[in-house]
Amino acid sequence: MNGIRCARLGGCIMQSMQRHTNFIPMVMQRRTEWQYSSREGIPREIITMLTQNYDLSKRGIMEYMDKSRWRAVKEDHKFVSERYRVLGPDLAAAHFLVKRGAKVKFHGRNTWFKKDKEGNMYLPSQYVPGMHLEAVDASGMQWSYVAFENMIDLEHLRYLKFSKCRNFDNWSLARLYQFQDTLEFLDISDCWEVTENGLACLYGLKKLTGLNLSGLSLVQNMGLMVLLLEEGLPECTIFGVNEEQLKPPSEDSIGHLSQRMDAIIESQNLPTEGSSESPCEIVHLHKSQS
Amino acid sequence: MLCQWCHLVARNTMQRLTLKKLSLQNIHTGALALQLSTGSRRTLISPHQNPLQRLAKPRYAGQIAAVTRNFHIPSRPQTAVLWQEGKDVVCRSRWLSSQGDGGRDGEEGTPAAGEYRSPWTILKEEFKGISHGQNLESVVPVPRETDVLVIGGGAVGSSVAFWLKERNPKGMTVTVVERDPCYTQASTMLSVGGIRHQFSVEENVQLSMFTTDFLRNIKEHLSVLDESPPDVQFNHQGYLFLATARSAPLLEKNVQLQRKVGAKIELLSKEQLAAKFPWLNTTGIEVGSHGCDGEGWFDPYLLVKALKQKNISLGVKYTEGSLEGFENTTDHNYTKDKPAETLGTAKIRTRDHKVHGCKFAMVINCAGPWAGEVARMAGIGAMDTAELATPLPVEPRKRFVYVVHCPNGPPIDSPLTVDPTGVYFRREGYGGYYLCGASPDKDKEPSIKDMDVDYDFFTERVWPELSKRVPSFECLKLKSAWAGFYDYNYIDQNLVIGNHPYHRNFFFANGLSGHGLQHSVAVGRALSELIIDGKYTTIDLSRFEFERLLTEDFLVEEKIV
Repeated sequence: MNGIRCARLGGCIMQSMQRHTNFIPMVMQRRTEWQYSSREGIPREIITMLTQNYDLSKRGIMEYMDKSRWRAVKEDHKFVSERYRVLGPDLAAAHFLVKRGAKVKFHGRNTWFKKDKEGNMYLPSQYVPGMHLEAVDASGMQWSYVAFENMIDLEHLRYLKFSKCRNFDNWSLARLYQFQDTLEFLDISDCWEVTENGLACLYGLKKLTGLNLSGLSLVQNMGLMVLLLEEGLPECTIFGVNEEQLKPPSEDSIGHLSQRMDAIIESQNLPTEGSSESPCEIVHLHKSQS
Repeated sequence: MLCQWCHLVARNTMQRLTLKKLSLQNIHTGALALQLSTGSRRTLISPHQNPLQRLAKPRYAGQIAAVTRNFHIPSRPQTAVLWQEGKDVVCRSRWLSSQGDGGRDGEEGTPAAGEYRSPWTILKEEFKGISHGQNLESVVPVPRETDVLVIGGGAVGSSVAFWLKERNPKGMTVTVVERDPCYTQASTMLSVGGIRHQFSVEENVQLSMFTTDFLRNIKEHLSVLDESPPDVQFNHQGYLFLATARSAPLLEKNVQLQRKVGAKIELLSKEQLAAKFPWLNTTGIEVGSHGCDGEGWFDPYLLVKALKQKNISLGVKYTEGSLEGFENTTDHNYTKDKPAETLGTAKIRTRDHKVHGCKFAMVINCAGPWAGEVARMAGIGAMDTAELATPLPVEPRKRFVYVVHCPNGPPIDSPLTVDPTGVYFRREGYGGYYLCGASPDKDKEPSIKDMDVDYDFFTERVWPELSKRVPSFECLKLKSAWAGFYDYNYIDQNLVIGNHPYHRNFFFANGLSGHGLQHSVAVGRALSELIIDGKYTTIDLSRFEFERLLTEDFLVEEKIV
């Protein structure tokens, strides 16, 4: 709902609800000056507020909460230049990722760093030369396109795992070009929003030796994409794809588009915190038909 | 009285009209003539126009309207221009698409709001639904009044309607008039669908980046409850512009400008190009610029479909009809002596040849290639008065797109490559198909009479250059082709936006010669900000206003593909 400015009371209620759920606090929206002036008349913000379609059904309110939560996520994932300046690129990225639930590994050390139950991270809070990020495991993390801005200048990154990341779609895959010189292993299993156009972006990662593509339910021509990727990335092993997926779509399963639309309808548009259902289960329709 | 008039003009236009020199001529019946001084006398004639004699007599006898340019009204076989004597100007023109018997005079449909209709007629219409099984919309297809009338329902028109309604769903009524609901000739659907950030004008880069951002978050913007979320099938491979040694400094300068705005463009030397794109033949190429992030191509039909779906859910009315002309209403707000006239009603002809009236508060011209005609219907460029002498310099230019199949063509990471000669190609799908085309030379523009494809152009101009640049294209098979129109701004190939200085409720969103689709979303947003807020808040497009055509502050876009 674009014109809504949260009333303070509503904001407090929402915030107390957020506190009980272990999630990022909602960012209060900035209020513009609502002043009547004889030249301008009633401020336009008020007029547009009055003309909005307010959906006060349960579904509408849940949608509104989803949208504000998503906006808060994007706000939270923004690039913080201070962090980059103080810690350097590798440690800044490590802090960013670990704080939000990912695990990282540095060159030369065999331990994975992650956040423990109290929220301690055990990462150095100052720049330490020689600590370079080698591997990132961001499985299950709430992702957004903006998060990639925090992972710049990582010159030794070799392993990326985005399995079951929410909101990891084609645009995020396209953004992986910034790791094209060093990335050797990529795991995007169960990122159900990825389609063929996203897989085509992987062509540019010339150093890739391992690629995990299991559970990508929206990719209908997996065999074709695997062939094309194997052509372009000859040293890469692609796994996670079973024999059935490699077969071309059969003649019986006409109406691909409707099955695909069914899958999309049943899945959620925006990431919500409580959705533990994985939409991968839905589209095995064409498997059962063929 | 001159001061009064000028003051009122200045107050009532949204942007200040900057004229180089004002001088008084004969004042007759309250009308003024403004003389614009020009440094250089450029004749702004497009290649399609035949020099004709000057138009009909001046509007007010005894007035010297000092028009310092020769503007020629083009004559086309399918437009018949009729001028009515007196105050109202009504143009009738046949539709470009053959829609039955267009020349026949239409019977009167529903009149515009404000005209008397007997309650008995209205009741009869509404009960036709019960007696004949028709819904009200088929009996009154064109709304009798609306706040905003958008002419043209392609990408730009739908985007303007979307942003207006999104801000103010219940505050204003928006009607979109589209004469071709299947979009058989619309430039949007026939476009190659590319989006790039590589332009030579800063605002164009910002416009493209805004559209990329919108497409990235299209599910947030255009999702409708209980419908499948929109998806435009975006391919992220980007654009690759190649430059010879002569044009390399210009390319590098443009890339610096684009990077300053925030676009992520890579500059590649000849060796880097050969390494990254081994299928490319780099002889003669000095440098290339590749957009890595947010550039690519998508399906324009899916974008318009998503916009239209969202618009309908927000309450925009899509009307099938062809604009016949405008009628003025007198506005007593200007001067107490002579009321000025503003555009008040549009005459819209529906498929059953009835001409309905639609009263509006503002009209937005999103007619694409035919925007010049729509502007002429409003009198812009069709009258001899100084205020209305300058036409909207937009006309259709035909361009061809060829679909070829090449089994050993460039791999799937090939970007939309643009040769220094102007030939371009891009991959289409994953089955070895490619789209290619080129802009014809300035003196060899194809005729816009129809939409036939010139296959000789492919064999003479496109294929030789293409196979020189990409050796694997030497053996290919031409599968199909189509022709579409650019809404070409023949002066500076850039957007014309904002309201007309005289018809201040007539807004432009035209002239995006070939990059209309990629700017459509951002242009719609800018117009909605101008209309609702009175100023551009996101991207400042004041340099693209109509006044630049009067003051000759042309803003040429060099990177036209």
